[in-house]
Amino acid sequence: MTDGALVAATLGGDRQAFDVLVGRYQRQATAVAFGLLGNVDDAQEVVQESFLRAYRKLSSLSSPERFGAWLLRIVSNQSLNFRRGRALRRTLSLHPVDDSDDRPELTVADAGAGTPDQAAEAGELKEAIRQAIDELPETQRLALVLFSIQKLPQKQVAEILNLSVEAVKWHVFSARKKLKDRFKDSL
Amino acid sequence: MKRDDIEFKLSEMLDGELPADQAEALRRELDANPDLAAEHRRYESLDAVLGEMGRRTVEVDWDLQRESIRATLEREALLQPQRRTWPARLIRLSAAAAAAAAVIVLAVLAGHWLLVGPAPTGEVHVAWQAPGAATGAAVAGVLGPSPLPSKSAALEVAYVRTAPIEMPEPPLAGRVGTIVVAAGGTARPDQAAELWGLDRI
Repeated sequence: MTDGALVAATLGGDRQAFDVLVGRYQRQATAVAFGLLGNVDDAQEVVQESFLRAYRKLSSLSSPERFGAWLLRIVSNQSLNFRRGRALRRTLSLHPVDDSDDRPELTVADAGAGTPDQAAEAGELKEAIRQAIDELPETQRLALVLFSIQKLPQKQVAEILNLSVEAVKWHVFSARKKLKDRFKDSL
Repeated sequence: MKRDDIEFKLSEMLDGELPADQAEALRRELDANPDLAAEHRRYESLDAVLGEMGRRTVEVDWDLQRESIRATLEREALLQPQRRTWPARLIRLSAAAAAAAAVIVLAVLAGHWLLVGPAPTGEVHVAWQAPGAATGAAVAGVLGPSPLPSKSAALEVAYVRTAPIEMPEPPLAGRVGTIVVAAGGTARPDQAAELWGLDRI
């Protein structure tokens, strides 16, 4: 069944049709949220909220066949809102939030890292790059995460960000260049 | 060509987006320019690191996540009307009707507002139908998440057209029509009345 048919069925009152859409996009949505938030619990919270928003706003979706891109746009926006909220909570808190909780519970594949020293070095570089990505301007960060990390096609990234493909290319390039210049001596 | 333009082409080449003739010209330039070649290698290394970030395995129980979303949606379907401001206390529910488990059709307010049930377990559905609407016609606005079952010929609602859990617009105040409430399982009609701030008679 196509996304468009599932959207129509959901709007017709078939809740199970929405379940199918959830099953179809939950992995991609979680990957995008995780890429932007770096924490699996936060990502899951955002994904849940995003699906709820999508359900509530489903009737406003003008092209039901584009449900996937539309949902991922919601996920991206929700993730950015979540990040802002998290930053604000940290700013307002007298006691800084313990960042150790933000480390994702992940199995990290560091294939090719070589010796333990090299692995540690590679891990440090990766962490430093991850932090640098956090400091990129919002659109550049989104474009980079969706395209270079999550490996979504440029066209889909463009749909999600509501930009042209050319603009996506430029934002990805700008982000890459900043990171490349910043880590010139380590890359 | 400006440096940024050249580096943009490097970025495009990395993604396989550079047209073949331009890619060939750029490769020749890389061969002739060690500094540019070094920049190219940095872009490649960076892309490899970014690619690895995307290959991390996240431990997620997908069934649990789906179930959680489903449960929240069901809960929302029950609570949604409470969040909106109902313009008037449009529906009056009878205490006797609230206690009844079977199908209830209760006409109050000059026969325009009706209560029916039951709905699937744990769900409450509300819809509004214009007066004189043909049997089986689409309801004008639906607050509940699915088509409403009704045993009443006058309230035969076979098809729901509008979005789930959306309030009918414009607000119901002063409109003549039929409010259909289907409540089932643990979601009792009196619970619905409480949620939506309805008067009890």
